[in-house]
Amino acid sequence: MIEVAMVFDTDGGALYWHEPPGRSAARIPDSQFLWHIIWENRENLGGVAHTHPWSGYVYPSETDLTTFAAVEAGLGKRLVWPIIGETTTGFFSWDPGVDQYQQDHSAYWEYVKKRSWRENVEKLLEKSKGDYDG
Amino acid sequence: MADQDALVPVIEQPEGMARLNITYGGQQGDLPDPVPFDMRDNELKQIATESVRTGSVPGIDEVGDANFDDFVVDRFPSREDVPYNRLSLRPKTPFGASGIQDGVVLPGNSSYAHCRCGHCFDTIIVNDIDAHVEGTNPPEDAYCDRCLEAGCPDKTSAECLSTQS
Repeated sequence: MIEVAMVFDTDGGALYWHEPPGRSAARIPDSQFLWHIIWENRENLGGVAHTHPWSGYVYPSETDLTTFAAVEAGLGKRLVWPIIGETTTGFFSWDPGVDQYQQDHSAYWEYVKKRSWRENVEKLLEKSKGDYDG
Repeated sequence: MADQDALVPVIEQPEGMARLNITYGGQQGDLPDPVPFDMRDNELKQIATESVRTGSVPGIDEVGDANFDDFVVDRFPSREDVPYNRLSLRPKTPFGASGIQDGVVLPGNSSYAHCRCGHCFDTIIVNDIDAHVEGTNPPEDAYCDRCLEAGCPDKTSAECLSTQS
């Protein structure tokens, strides 16, 4: 199993599949090219999803949270950050009411209604079945 | 007819110096003065922080609380088509577990899970998952090192709770 990320637009369509060398079951390394993709698509960018290729509840790691915040600071806009696990999915976004990233249930229901999103989640999970890509 | 070479801006750049490009708040701009190409990342971030906070980067609006702690520096040496050194300060983009080096492959009977403190969002390796309930559920004592040091298991540690925000 291996982590994969997907940059998606506000309709849930895939803009870029992020499968860089050096990723593993535990992490996806920093990527100048991923930032380039995010920046070039900033106008219609919905967010960046990534997989946690194991079963059980999904939570953002400390690395995830600081990446969310850094990218949003660079863009000057908030995004949605889905984490796709084998058995559960969590949508996370900044909640100004509590001043931290929280589960965003409204975003989840907004995207899960979209057929393109559901198909892309299946692709993400399929791509996560690969082995370490060092 | 325009000369193709004219598309490359002519920049007077002393030996060993570089242009620093900064991205922040959806805007990009170059620091007006060149900086040493081999300047350390932390020093570059400090310069960027002060410059953006004081509104002295053309193209970037003043942001009083600008913070570049989680940004990274890309370094581009001069080349034929861009004959000057460039530095770019951009947001970092990694995902995954903290403190795990690139290329680490987990043993077959291990996984990783969220620290049980429920507050720090840190991720830890759970070895020998076969010995634990429900496969990937962390064992009772599966706290990240920071939370263990802070005494977080009782959820009263200030260090642990401070990571909520």
